[in-house]
Amino acid sequence: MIRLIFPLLILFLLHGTEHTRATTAGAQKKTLETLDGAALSRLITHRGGKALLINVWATWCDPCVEEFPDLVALDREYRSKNVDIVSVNIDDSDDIESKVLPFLHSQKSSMKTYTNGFKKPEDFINALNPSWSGAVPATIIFDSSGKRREFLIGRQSLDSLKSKLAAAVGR
Amino acid sequence: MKRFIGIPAILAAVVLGGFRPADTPRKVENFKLKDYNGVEHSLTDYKDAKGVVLMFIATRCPISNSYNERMVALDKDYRSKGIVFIGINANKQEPVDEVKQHAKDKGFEFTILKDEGNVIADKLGASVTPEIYLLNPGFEVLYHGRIDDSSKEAKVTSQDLRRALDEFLAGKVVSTPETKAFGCTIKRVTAS
Repeated sequence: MIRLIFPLLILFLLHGTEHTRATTAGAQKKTLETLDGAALSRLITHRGGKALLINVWATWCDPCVEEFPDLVALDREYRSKNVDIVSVNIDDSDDIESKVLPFLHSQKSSMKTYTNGFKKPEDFINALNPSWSGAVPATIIFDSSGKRREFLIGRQSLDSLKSKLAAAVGR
Repeated sequence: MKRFIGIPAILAAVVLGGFRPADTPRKVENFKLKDYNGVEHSLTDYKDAKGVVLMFIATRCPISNSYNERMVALDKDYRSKGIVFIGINANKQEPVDEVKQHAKDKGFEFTILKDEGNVIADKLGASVTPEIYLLNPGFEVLYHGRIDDSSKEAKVTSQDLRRALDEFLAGKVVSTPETKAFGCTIKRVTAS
Protein backbone atom coordinates (compact mmCIF):
# COMPACT_ATOMS: atom_id res chain seq x y z
CA MET A 1 0.00 0.00 0.00
CA ILE A 2 2.82 2.38 0.96
CA ARG A 3 4.46 1.55 -2.36
CA LEU A 4 1.34 2.85 -4.11
CA ILE A 5 0.67 5.89 -1.93
CA PHE A 6 4.20 7.23 -1.89
CA PRO A 7 4.54 7.79 -5.67
CA LEU A 8 1.06 9.30 -5.73
CA LEU A 9 2.01 11.65 -2.91
CA ILE A 10 5.15 12.73 -4.80
CA LEU A 11 3.11 13.31 -7.94
CA PHE A 12 0.56 15.34 -6.00
CA LEU A 13 3.25 17.50 -4.40
CA LEU A 14 5.02 18.09 -7.72
CA HIS A 15 1.77 19.05 -9.39
CA GLY A 16 0.92 21.37 -6.53
CA THR A 17 4.30 23.10 -6.75
CA GLU A 18 4.01 23.64 -10.48
CA HIS A 19 0.49 24.94 -10.15
CA THR A 20 1.49 27.41 -7.47
CA ARG A 21 4.43 28.59 -9.54
CA ALA A 22 2.27 29.03 -12.61
CA THR A 23 -0.42 30.86 -10.68
CA THR A 24 2.07 33.17 -8.99
CA ALA A 25 3.85 33.91 -12.22
CA GLY A 26 0.56 34.42 -14.00
CA ALA A 27 -0.67 36.82 -11.35
CA GLN A 28 2.55 38.81 -11.52
CA LYS A 29 2.62 38.75 -15.27
CA LYS A 30 -0.65 40.69 -15.38
CA THR A 31 1.18 43.64 -13.84
CA LEU A 32 3.76 43.74 -16.64
CA GLU A 33 2.17 45.54 -19.52
CA THR A 34 3.96 45.97 -22.79
CA LEU A 35 5.13 49.46 -23.64
CA ASP A 36 5.09 50.20 -27.35
CA GLY A 37 5.29 53.53 -29.15
CA ALA A 38 1.66 54.44 -28.69
CA ALA A 39 1.67 53.49 -25.01
CA LEU A 40 4.89 55.45 -24.40
CA SER A 41 3.43 58.49 -26.11
CA ARG A 42 0.28 58.24 -23.99
CA LEU A 43 2.32 57.79 -20.85
CA ILE A 44 4.35 60.92 -21.51
CA THR A 45 1.64 63.20 -22.82
CA HIS A 46 -1.41 62.23 -20.76
CA ARG A 47 0.01 63.48 -17.49
CA GLY A 48 -3.13 64.59 -15.70
CA GLY A 49 -1.13 67.13 -13.72
CA LYS A 50 1.48 64.63 -12.57
CA ALA A 51 5.22 64.53 -13.20
CA LEU A 52 6.71 61.27 -14.46
CA LEU A 53 9.89 59.31 -13.82
CA ILE A 54 10.75 56.46 -16.18
CA ASN A 55 13.56 54.09 -15.28
CA VAL A 56 14.89 51.75 -17.98
CA TRP A 57 16.59 48.70 -16.52
CA ALA A 58 17.52 45.04 -16.91
CA THR A 59 18.30 42.20 -14.55
CA TRP A 60 21.65 41.68 -16.33
CA CYS A 61 22.67 45.24 -15.46
CA ASP A 62 24.33 45.40 -12.04
CA PRO A 63 23.90 49.17 -11.51
CA CYS A 64 20.21 48.78 -12.43
CA VAL A 65 19.77 46.05 -9.84
CA GLU A 66 21.62 48.11 -7.24
CA GLU A 67 19.51 51.17 -7.98
CA PHE A 68 16.17 49.39 -8.01
CA PRO A 69 15.41 49.45 -4.26
CA ASP A 70 15.69 53.26 -4.35
CA LEU A 71 13.12 53.40 -7.14
CA VAL A 72 10.77 51.14 -5.20
CA ALA A 73 11.16 53.47 -2.22
CA LEU A 74 10.60 56.54 -4.40
CA ASP A 75 7.45 54.99 -5.82
CA ARG A 76 6.07 54.48 -2.33
CA GLU A 77 7.03 57.96 -1.20
CA TYR A 78 5.90 59.91 -4.26
CA ARG A 79 2.73 58.05 -5.15
CA SER A 80 0.68 60.61 -3.25
CA LYS A 81 2.82 63.56 -4.38
CA ASN A 82 1.77 64.12 -7.97
CA VAL A 83 4.50 61.93 -9.46
CA ASP A 84 4.15 58.68 -11.39
CA ILE A 85 7.16 56.42 -11.12
CA VAL A 86 7.37 53.60 -13.63
CA SER A 87 10.04 51.24 -14.86
CA VAL A 88 10.57 49.64 -18.24
CA ASN A 89 12.38 46.35 -18.25
CA ILE A 90 14.49 45.52 -21.32
CA ASP A 91 15.43 41.92 -20.56
CA ASP A 92 14.92 39.49 -23.40
CA SER A 93 11.31 38.27 -23.54
CA ASP A 94 12.53 34.76 -22.75
CA ASP A 95 13.80 35.98 -19.39
CA ILE A 96 10.68 37.74 -18.11
CA GLU A 97 9.23 34.80 -16.27
CA SER A 98 12.50 33.25 -15.12
CA LYS A 99 14.38 36.41 -14.11
CA VAL A 100 12.33 39.60 -14.16
CA LEU A 101 9.25 38.48 -12.26
CA PRO A 102 11.22 36.78 -9.48
CA PHE A 103 13.39 39.88 -9.18
CA LEU A 104 10.37 42.17 -8.87
CA HIS A 105 8.90 39.80 -6.32
CA SER A 106 12.13 39.83 -4.30
CA GLN A 107 12.09 43.64 -4.35
CA LYS A 108 8.47 43.73 -3.15
CA SER A 109 7.92 46.21 -5.94
CA SER A 110 4.49 47.67 -6.45
CA MET A 111 5.90 50.15 -8.97
CA LYS A 112 4.28 50.02 -12.38
CA THR A 113 6.65 48.01 -14.54
CA TYR A 114 6.43 47.54 -18.29
CA THR A 115 8.25 45.28 -20.69
CA ASN A 116 9.73 46.73 -23.85
CA GLY A 117 7.19 46.34 -26.63
CA PHE A 118 9.14 48.05 -29.40
CA LYS A 119 10.11 45.76 -32.26
CA LYS A 120 13.64 47.18 -32.58
CA PRO A 121 15.79 48.34 -29.66
CA GLU A 122 16.74 51.56 -31.41
CA ASP A 123 13.09 52.46 -31.88
CA PHE A 124 12.62 52.51 -28.11
CA ILE A 125 15.98 54.24 -27.55
CA ASN A 126 15.24 56.95 -30.09
CA ALA A 127 11.68 57.42 -28.87
CA LEU A 128 13.02 58.37 -25.46
CA ASN A 129 16.06 60.31 -26.65
CA PRO A 130 17.69 60.18 -30.10
CA SER A 131 21.08 61.02 -28.60
CA TRP A 132 20.94 58.14 -26.11
CA SER A 133 23.29 55.24 -26.90
CA GLY A 134 21.18 52.63 -25.11
CA ALA A 135 23.39 52.38 -22.01
CA VAL A 136 21.41 51.41 -18.91
CA PRO A 137 20.26 52.22 -16.35
CA ALA A 138 18.64 55.33 -17.75
CA THR A 139 16.24 57.53 -15.84
CA ILE A 140 14.09 60.13 -17.52
CA ILE A 141 12.08 62.75 -15.67
CA PHE A 142 9.18 64.60 -17.29
CA ASP A 143 7.29 67.48 -15.76
CA SER A 144 3.50 67.58 -15.55
CA SER A 145 3.25 69.04 -19.05
CA GLY A 146 5.11 66.04 -20.47
CA LYS A 147 8.28 68.02 -21.15
CA ARG A 148 11.50 66.07 -20.58
CA ARG A 149 13.49 67.70 -17.78
CA GLU A 150 16.22 65.17 -17.05
CA PHE A 151 17.87 62.33 -18.90
CA LEU A 152 20.21 60.50 -16.55
CA ILE A 153 22.55 57.68 -17.55
CA GLY A 154 23.95 55.30 -14.95
CA ARG A 155 23.05 54.66 -11.35
CA GLN A 156 21.68 57.70 -9.55
CA SER A 157 21.70 58.38 -5.84
CA LEU A 158 18.38 58.53 -4.03
CA ASP A 159 19.06 62.12 -2.92
CA SER A 160 19.84 63.19 -6.47
CA LEU A 161 16.64 61.63 -7.79
CA LYS A 162 14.60 63.28 -5.06
CA SER A 163 16.02 66.73 -5.76
CA LYS A 164 15.49 66.36 -9.49
CA LEU A 165 11.95 65.14 -8.96
CA ALA A 166 11.24 68.03 -6.63
CA ALA A 167 12.46 70.43 -9.30
CA ALA A 168 10.26 68.78 -11.93
CA VAL A 169 7.19 68.87 -9.67
CA GLY A 170 7.86 72.47 -8.76
CA ARG A 171 7.99 73.71 -12.32
CA MET B 1 21.76 91.22 -48.94
CA LYS B 2 20.67 87.74 -47.94
CA ARG B 3 23.79 86.37 -49.63
CA PHE B 4 26.02 88.53 -47.42
CA ILE B 5 24.26 87.37 -44.29
CA GLY B 6 24.47 83.73 -45.34
CA ILE B 7 28.20 83.63 -46.06
CA PRO B 8 29.34 84.80 -42.60
CA ALA B 9 26.91 82.35 -41.04
CA ILE B 10 28.43 79.46 -42.98
CA LEU B 11 31.95 80.65 -42.18
CA ALA B 12 31.08 80.88 -38.51
CA ALA B 13 29.74 77.35 -38.57
CA VAL B 14 32.94 76.09 -40.19
CA VAL B 15 35.17 77.98 -37.76
CA LEU B 16 33.24 76.71 -34.77
CA GLY B 17 33.62 73.19 -36.04
CA GLY B 18 29.93 72.52 -36.11
CA PHE B 19 29.60 72.26 -39.86
CA ARG B 20 30.07 68.96 -41.57
CA PRO B 21 28.21 67.69 -44.58
CA ALA B 22 25.85 64.94 -43.49
CA ASP B 23 27.62 62.25 -45.52
CA THR B 24 31.17 63.11 -44.42
CA PRO B 25 32.45 60.41 -42.05
CA ARG B 26 33.83 61.48 -38.73
CA LYS B 27 37.58 60.95 -38.39
CA VAL B 28 39.20 59.38 -35.34
CA GLU B 29 42.40 61.12 -34.27
CA ASN B 30 45.45 59.01 -33.57
CA PHE B 31 45.74 57.71 -30.03
CA LYS B 32 48.13 55.57 -28.02
CA LEU B 33 47.12 52.96 -25.47
CA LYS B 34 48.84 50.02 -23.82
CA ASP B 35 47.61 46.48 -24.21
CA TYR B 36 47.25 44.12 -21.24
CA ASN B 37 50.92 43.18 -21.55
CA GLY B 38 52.01 46.79 -21.25
CA VAL B 39 52.92 47.16 -24.94
CA GLU B 40 51.97 50.51 -26.41
CA HIS B 41 49.88 50.62 -29.58
CA SER B 42 49.10 53.61 -31.79
CA LEU B 43 46.12 53.69 -34.08
CA THR B 44 48.57 54.60 -36.84
CA ASP B 45 50.28 51.22 -36.30
CA TYR B 46 47.33 49.87 -38.28
CA LYS B 47 47.33 52.35 -41.16
CA ASP B 48 48.13 49.57 -43.63
CA ALA B 49 45.11 47.47 -42.64
CA LYS B 50 42.13 47.49 -44.98
CA GLY B 51 40.03 48.49 -42.02
CA VAL B 52 40.07 48.63 -38.24
CA VAL B 53 37.26 47.57 -35.93
CA LEU B 54 37.43 49.16 -32.49
CA MET B 55 35.29 47.28 -29.99
CA PHE B 56 34.57 48.73 -26.55
CA ILE B 57 34.13 45.63 -24.46
CA ALA B 58 33.94 44.61 -20.82
CA THR B 59 34.87 41.65 -18.65
CA ARG B 60 31.86 41.86 -16.33
CA CYS B 61 29.04 43.08 -18.58
CA PRO B 62 26.71 40.18 -19.39
CA ILE B 63 25.72 41.75 -22.70
CA SER B 64 29.34 42.23 -23.77
CA ASN B 65 30.09 38.70 -22.61
CA SER B 66 27.18 37.32 -24.61
CA TYR B 67 29.12 38.47 -27.68
CA ASN B 68 32.45 36.82 -26.79
CA GLU B 69 32.10 33.92 -29.20
CA ARG B 70 30.75 36.18 -31.92
CA MET B 71 33.73 38.53 -31.53
CA VAL B 72 36.10 35.59 -31.83
CA ALA B 73 34.28 34.47 -34.99
CA LEU B 74 34.30 37.95 -36.50
CA ASP B 75 38.04 38.30 -35.88
CA LYS B 76 38.64 34.88 -37.41
CA ASP B 77 36.43 35.51 -40.44
CA TYR B 78 37.71 38.99 -41.32
CA ARG B 79 41.38 38.86 -40.27
CA SER B 80 42.31 37.14 -43.53
CA LYS B 81 40.47 39.88 -45.39
CA GLY B 82 42.71 42.56 -43.95
CA ILE B 83 40.50 43.77 -41.12
CA VAL B 84 42.14 44.34 -37.73
CA PHE B 85 39.97 43.91 -34.64
CA ILE B 86 41.00 45.79 -31.51
CA GLY B 87 39.21 45.51 -28.19
CA ILE B 88 39.25 48.47 -25.83
CA ASN B 89 38.42 48.12 -22.15
CA ALA B 90 37.60 51.51 -20.61
CA ASN B 91 35.83 50.29 -17.48
CA LYS B 92 37.46 51.69 -14.36
CA GLN B 93 36.52 48.70 -12.20
CA GLU B 94 38.07 46.13 -14.55
CA PRO B 95 41.84 46.09 -13.93
CA VAL B 96 44.32 45.15 -16.62
CA ASP B 97 45.09 41.75 -15.06
CA GLU B 98 41.39 40.91 -15.21
CA VAL B 99 41.24 42.02 -18.84
CA LYS B 100 44.19 39.75 -19.64
CA GLN B 101 42.69 36.75 -17.86
CA HIS B 102 39.31 37.34 -19.47
CA ALA B 103 40.90 37.47 -22.92
CA LYS B 104 42.74 34.22 -22.22
CA ASP B 105 39.62 32.51 -20.88
CA LYS B 106 37.49 33.59 -23.83
CA GLY B 107 40.07 32.82 -26.51
CA PHE B 108 40.41 36.40 -27.77
CA GLU B 109 43.28 36.54 -30.25
CA PHE B 110 42.77 40.19 -31.10
CA THR B 111 44.65 42.96 -29.31
CA ILE B 112 42.92 44.42 -26.27
CA LEU B 113 43.92 47.88 -25.10
CA LYS B 114 43.31 49.24 -21.63
CA ASP B 115 41.87 52.74 -21.77
CA GLU B 116 42.92 53.94 -18.33
CA GLY B 117 40.92 56.99 -17.35
CA ASN B 118 38.51 56.34 -20.25
CA VAL B 119 40.33 58.97 -22.29
CA ILE B 120 39.68 57.36 -25.66
CA ALA B 121 36.11 56.42 -24.75
CA ASP B 122 35.54 60.09 -23.96
CA LYS B 123 37.14 61.23 -27.22
CA LEU B 124 35.04 58.86 -29.29
CA GLY B 125 31.93 59.32 -27.19
CA ALA B 126 31.67 55.59 -26.50
CA SER B 127 29.28 54.94 -23.65
CA VAL B 128 28.17 51.33 -23.77
CA THR B 129 29.56 47.81 -24.09
CA PRO B 130 29.76 46.35 -26.60
CA GLU B 131 30.08 49.38 -28.90
CA ILE B 132 31.72 49.17 -32.31
CA TYR B 133 33.54 51.61 -34.59
CA LEU B 134 34.55 50.45 -38.07
CA LEU B 135 37.29 52.65 -39.50
CA ASN B 136 38.72 52.84 -43.00
CA PRO B 137 42.50 53.25 -43.53
CA GLY B 138 42.05 57.00 -43.13
CA PHE B 139 40.47 56.24 -39.74
CA GLU B 140 37.12 57.63 -40.75
CA VAL B 141 34.15 56.05 -38.99
CA LEU B 142 32.17 54.07 -41.55
CA TYR B 143 30.00 52.25 -39.06
CA HIS B 144 29.18 52.87 -35.42
CA GLY B 145 26.93 50.85 -33.17
CA ARG B 146 26.14 47.28 -32.31
CA ILE B 147 27.48 43.94 -33.49
CA ASP B 148 24.00 42.65 -34.27
CA ASP B 149 20.47 43.11 -33.04
CA SER B 150 20.20 40.54 -30.24
CA SER B 151 22.35 39.54 -27.31
CA LYS B 152 20.86 36.07 -27.80
CA GLU B 153 22.52 34.70 -30.90
CA ALA B 154 19.56 32.52 -31.84
CA LYS B 155 17.36 35.62 -32.08
CA VAL B 156 19.62 37.69 -34.33
CA THR B 157 17.84 39.01 -37.40
CA SER B 158 20.30 41.70 -38.46
CA GLN B 159 24.05 41.12 -38.67
CA ASP B 160 24.85 44.81 -38.66
CA LEU B 161 28.64 44.73 -38.28
CA ARG B 162 29.09 41.88 -40.76
CA ARG B 163 26.92 43.69 -43.28
CA ALA B 164 28.93 46.90 -42.82
CA LEU B 165 32.22 45.00 -43.21
CA ASP B 166 31.02 43.16 -46.31
CA GLU B 167 29.78 46.35 -47.93
CA PHE B 168 33.00 48.18 -47.09
CA LEU B 169 35.20 45.35 -48.40
CA ALA B 170 33.12 45.23 -51.58
CA GLY B 171 33.80 48.92 -52.12
CA LYS B 172 30.21 49.90 -51.41
CA VAL B 173 28.89 52.62 -49.16
CA VAL B 174 27.89 51.22 -45.77
CA SER B 175 24.12 51.22 -46.03
CA THR B 176 23.41 51.56 -42.30
CA PRO B 177 26.26 53.53 -40.75
CA GLU B 178 24.67 53.92 -37.32
CA THR B 179 22.79 51.46 -35.12
CA LYS B 180 21.95 51.21 -31.43
CA ALA B 181 21.37 48.53 -28.84
CA PHE B 182 20.97 48.27 -25.12
CA GLY B 183 24.13 47.54 -23.19
CA CYS B 184 26.08 48.21 -20.02
CA THR B 185 27.35 51.69 -19.30
CA ILE B 186 31.11 52.16 -19.53
CA LYS B 187 32.07 52.75 -15.91
CA ARG B 188 34.04 55.95 -16.14
CA VAL B 189 36.57 57.51 -13.82
CA THR B 190 34.53 60.68 -13.98
CA ALA B 191 30.78 60.47 -14.37
CA SER B 192 29.62 61.81 -17.70
